Amino acid sequence: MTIAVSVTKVNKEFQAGDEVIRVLDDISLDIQLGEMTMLVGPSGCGKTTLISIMSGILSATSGDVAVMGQSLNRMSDRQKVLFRRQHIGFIFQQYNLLPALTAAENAAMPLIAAGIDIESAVGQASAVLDQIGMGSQILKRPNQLSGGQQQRVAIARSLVHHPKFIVCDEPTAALDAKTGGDVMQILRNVANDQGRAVLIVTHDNRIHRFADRIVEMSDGRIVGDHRDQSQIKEH
Amino acid sequence: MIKIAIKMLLGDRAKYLGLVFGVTFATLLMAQQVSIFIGLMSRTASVVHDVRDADVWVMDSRVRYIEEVEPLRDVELTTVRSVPGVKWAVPFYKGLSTIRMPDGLTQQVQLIGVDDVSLVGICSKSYMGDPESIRHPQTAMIDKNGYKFTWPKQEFKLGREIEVNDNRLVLTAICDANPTFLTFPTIYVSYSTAIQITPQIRNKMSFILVKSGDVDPKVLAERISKQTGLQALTQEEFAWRSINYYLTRTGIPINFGITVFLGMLIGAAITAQTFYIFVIENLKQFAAMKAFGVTNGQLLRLVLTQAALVAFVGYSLGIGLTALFFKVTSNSPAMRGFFLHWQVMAGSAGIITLIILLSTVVSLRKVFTVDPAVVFRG
Repeated sequence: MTIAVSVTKVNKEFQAGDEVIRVLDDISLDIQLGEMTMLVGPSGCGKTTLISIMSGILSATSGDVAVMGQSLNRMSDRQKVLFRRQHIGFIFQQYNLLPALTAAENAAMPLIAAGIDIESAVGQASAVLDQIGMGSQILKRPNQLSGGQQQRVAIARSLVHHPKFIVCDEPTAALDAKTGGDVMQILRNVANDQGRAVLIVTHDNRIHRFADRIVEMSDGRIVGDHRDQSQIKEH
Repeated sequence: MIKIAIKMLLGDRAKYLGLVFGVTFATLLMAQQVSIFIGLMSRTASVVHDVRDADVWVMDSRVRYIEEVEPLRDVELTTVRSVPGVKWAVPFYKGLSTIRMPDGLTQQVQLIGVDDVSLVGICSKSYMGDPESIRHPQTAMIDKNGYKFTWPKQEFKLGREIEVNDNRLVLTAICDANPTFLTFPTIYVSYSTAIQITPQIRNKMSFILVKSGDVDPKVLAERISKQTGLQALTQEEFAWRSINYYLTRTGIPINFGITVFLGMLIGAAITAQTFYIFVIENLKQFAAMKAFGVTNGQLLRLVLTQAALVAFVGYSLGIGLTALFFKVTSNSPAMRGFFLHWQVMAGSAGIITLIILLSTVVSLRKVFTVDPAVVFRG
């Protein structure tokens, strides 16, 4: 398998008054293309900080992160923004859709940000929405969609610009079991069938069965890395 | 991105209307109050501006503005006429009198006495009757507003009789004069009639109106001052001196200034606060946009587009309402001569732009510094 993201000896410290808090402690991790990886662990263990660093939103205090072979450490903030636009897709717990835009316009946002004209971008986004069963909802606004449908729009938004690395933060936290399962199946297909690296941060152990790999964190360290399906099922 | 910006803005209808209302309110208050102020100040010099043929006004050196009259000796007229460059010079009477009507009611008026022969200084816009008829003894012309003020809700009619200091005058003409600051009706009579009907004092001539020959009016004014010891001012100089007197000696500019400032402040506060809240409420969306690759430059254009649209719509509505206000009130005697000047429109546009830019700058600081990682914090 090809490595999509390579994290090498990453540390992250925050200053809290006079105190320095180490949130990530010597983390090394590779994320593979074609695989759905779940990052699990108790609240405050550093999962969100790690995915923020892996997606170029936060900078590591030390260590290196390379996405698709390109080191994020050597990029300026603007270069990171442009890199994210091209290579990384995001799915958030709260969907973060723009309420005034239709589903297709929301899904088209990364393309619009890249300078593609709105009609063309919406056309491409509509095709992606259609692929994930949202073809009949493209003109609806977020407040006219259910939670599951909104998350599908967010998935379409994360895929529309064909990124190889997709970061998901608690994608099923606001969904019921059935809808969460549907969303996870779509994401699993994105990873396995389309050969992308999907990294999911989750507390929701109902969805662990969809994972190809589960990385366990505690107190800023990786304490477990399971690929074996029996181990995953035990989780 | 511009289409997205507009959709984001119009998507939240209540906030959008709140923003537009703030700008509209600020524009309306500023443009309307400043226009009324300009109109009011223009009225202080309307008597000067109504005299069309003369270039130079000659008066006693103690006169500071048009309402302050220090009578001149009759001989001064001859002295002025002797100054080289003077084409002609005529006497002009201006004073306050009380008229009595046949039903016994009294009314204070501004009495204007113009040269019997040339009628220089007479209101040039005739409304009814023949202005030249005031050359006849015991006749007078009244201004349209004054007529309505004196005989409210009555039709315009010539031949009405009025009494000034026990002298009977017949109204033979009505004119459309520019409104004056003091709002008293203006009665125009010939200079000789004015002399005859006003109380007996040694000197009565209020001003001397001068037409320059081939000389520049400013040069001629200086020459008259130098040769006669009187104060001579060009028409514009005298008009501005009168306006400046009210500006510096009365509380009018301060009161209007406070109103305009408060309007600006309240409008700015409403606009800035609503816009700030609008941006802050969208901060998570902006953070998400930054996460998936929208640059600060694109966000700047997005927020500026929203601000520009709000400013344009709010300003247009505000100016439209101001114009409508002046249109609707144009027939009211109290509001005559008040209109929306293009300079006021331009000034209001400048201030609204400033308000919007300040609101945008304050809001943008939040947008630029928002950490995209907040989108991962639930």
